[in-house]
Amino acid sequence: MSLDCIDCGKIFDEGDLAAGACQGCGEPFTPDTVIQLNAQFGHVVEAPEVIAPVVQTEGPPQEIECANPDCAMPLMGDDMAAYQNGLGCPYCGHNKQAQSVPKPPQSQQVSQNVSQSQPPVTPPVSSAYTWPFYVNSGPLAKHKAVIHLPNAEIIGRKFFTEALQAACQSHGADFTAYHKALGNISREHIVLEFDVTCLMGDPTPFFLMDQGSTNLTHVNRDEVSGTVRFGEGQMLVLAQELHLSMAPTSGGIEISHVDTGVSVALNLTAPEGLHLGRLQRNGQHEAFAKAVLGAMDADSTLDSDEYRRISRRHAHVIHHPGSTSTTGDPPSLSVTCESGKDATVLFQNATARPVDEQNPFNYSLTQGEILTLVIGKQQFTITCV
Amino acid sequence: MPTMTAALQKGKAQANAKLISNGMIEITPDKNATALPLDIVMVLDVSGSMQGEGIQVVIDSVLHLQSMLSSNDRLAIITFNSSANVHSSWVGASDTIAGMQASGGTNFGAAINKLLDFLGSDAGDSGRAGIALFMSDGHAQKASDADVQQITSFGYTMHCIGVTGGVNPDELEHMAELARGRYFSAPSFSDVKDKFTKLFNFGKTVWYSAPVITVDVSSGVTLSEVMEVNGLDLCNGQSLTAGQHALTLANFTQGMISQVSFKVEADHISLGPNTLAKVTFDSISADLNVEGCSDTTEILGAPINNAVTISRTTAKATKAIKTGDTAVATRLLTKLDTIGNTVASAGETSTILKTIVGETNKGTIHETIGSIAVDTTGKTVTRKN
Repeated sequence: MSLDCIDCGKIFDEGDLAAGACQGCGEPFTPDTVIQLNAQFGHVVEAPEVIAPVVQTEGPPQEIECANPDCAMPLMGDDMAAYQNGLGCPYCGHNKQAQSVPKPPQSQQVSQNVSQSQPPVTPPVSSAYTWPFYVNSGPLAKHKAVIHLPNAEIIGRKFFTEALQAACQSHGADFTAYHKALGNISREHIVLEFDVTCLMGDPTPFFLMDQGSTNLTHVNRDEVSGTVRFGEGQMLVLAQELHLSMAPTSGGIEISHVDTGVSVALNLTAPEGLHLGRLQRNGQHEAFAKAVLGAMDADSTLDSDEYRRISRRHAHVIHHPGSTSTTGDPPSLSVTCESGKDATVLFQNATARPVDEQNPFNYSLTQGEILTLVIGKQQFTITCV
Repeated sequence: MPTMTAALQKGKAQANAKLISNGMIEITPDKNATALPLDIVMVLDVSGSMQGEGIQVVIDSVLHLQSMLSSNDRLAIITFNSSANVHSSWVGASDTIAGMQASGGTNFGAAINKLLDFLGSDAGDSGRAGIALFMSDGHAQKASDADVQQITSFGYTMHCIGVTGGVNPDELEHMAELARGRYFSAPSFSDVKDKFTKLFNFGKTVWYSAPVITVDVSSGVTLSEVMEVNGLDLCNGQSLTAGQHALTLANFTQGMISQVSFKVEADHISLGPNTLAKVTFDSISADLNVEGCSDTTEILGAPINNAVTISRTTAKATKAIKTGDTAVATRLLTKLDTIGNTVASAGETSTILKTIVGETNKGTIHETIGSIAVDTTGKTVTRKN
């Protein structure tokens, strides 16, 4: 569809795009208009490279504490290095890697854990460790395609081009749909690094560093400046175009929007859970909803207004990790509706369970079980992977 | 020394073609610029319509302003009804000022002519900040626009203060714009005190009074819609064609930068460097350049200066709000919101302007718009004084 000038009615051509302004009346273009016209005329404009500022990363810790609560001895120098390398605490013998921090899994293992039904996508990297991410924008979202981000490497346009190309080839999806997003990703855009000093249950066990990208990095709706923590349940947005979310590890719970395939892992420790609606309780936009709306807008067969008819705050889904003690509660899932709102949970045997403010839904989901949550005309699957 | 830049929306354009674009001149003060001592000339309406509440507000205002003068500041008073007189030539904080009575008709033309006579008879001193304060209820025979504009040729700007509850703000605001000043709404004496404090604090930040820039427009080039960011029209709706033009800007104040945006039309862009205009202020100058290219890819890849887009859109939006064109204002604010997705400051500007769009009191609209400025980080702000 051609864009025209709201002021003078001129239908924009490449001359307008080149000038950055309507050549009929001079009205300057917004960045969005430039992007739309670039897409319309098939220009893949590379984001101009900037000199990346020196990112002040936190650097290696000076000391760490032994994770054994009975010891908690501060470890420094060689002791710290030995402890981090799995040789055990020199004071109590506690082995950090074996008992408190999951060893970063290799990509193949993670792929199998995410979903046995998905064909694993070969990562275009040779890094020792990679992390699985769902592609939540463009045609790959429907396929719940996974790409693997390498650990502690600077990645940018080249990496994502190869990864998305491979994924599109694997799923038969249209790679050209990603041209605009890839054009906006900087050559050196981000680094994702597992924090080897984090403890089990840390909801954000990764460092995410923006490398001075031209078109920015966001986690949920927050712009990343320098280094931030990152984890499951958060939406990573590159150049405001490419939405990615970390696929859940084994035992985790994942929510997917059925029409678009946009998926996110439920963070085990987030007390607010995931809001199904457009806003979180704190008034901020729910990044999951933004990704869904973006995917619906990009698909001519879907009407994103149908999603907008879900109340701004309709329901939220929380994963309770339960207690690890033998007398504690098992891990469970709850769905709670806001005042005056309702939803329906469909079990795999087609049994329906209505949910409203007075009747929240609490359930211990077993591995492999899939529930469907229906809100208005929108359906979401909740899966324990 | 202050610095000045001139920039086009894009630094590259199609060679051997016509170009319609947008541009901006930006003047940043010297960090060491100091505030100038004040010469204040009060021009006071003592006509019959000011009898009672109005004349009392005027008298109280004079005494209050006199009490605010510092040892380096001076005050003169001109009173007018159907004719005008110099009531008090330069007085200091401790001098006696004679009383006033309200009677007769109201002739703004006589008041402005007397002010021009007074300023012409005074030697003038570029080392002082000249400020005229015009106080009236706004019901009068109008002054000629050319006469009001002439005030700036003496290095003075004129602010207009609308007093009494029945004020007609439109002509006062118009005169303030012509004389590069601001409009203040002050129905009661307590309002006047508040506005005087703002004006006085504003005056204490002036580092260049009624600055004049010279714009030398190249052959085949036209600059139009030349405005400051608060919608102050520097050419009264006229265009600048080839040749030299002197433009008087609003006072330069500390902590703020002066932005002048405009539409640019060039009949022909040559291959290679093109200078569309040369701008001079005191001893500094800047060229408005664009490079003509034949490589479309190179032109499309050239970055767009978003600051120009934001400044132009803000100026046009404030002008639309001021003239009551709500439909255009709303569209431009939506545009700023869209740019805000990429450049946060545009969204903040939109938020500021939205507070005025719903305002029904014209005096408040004029006053708020007059307080809009750009700080040294390039962010649009409302002066808090």
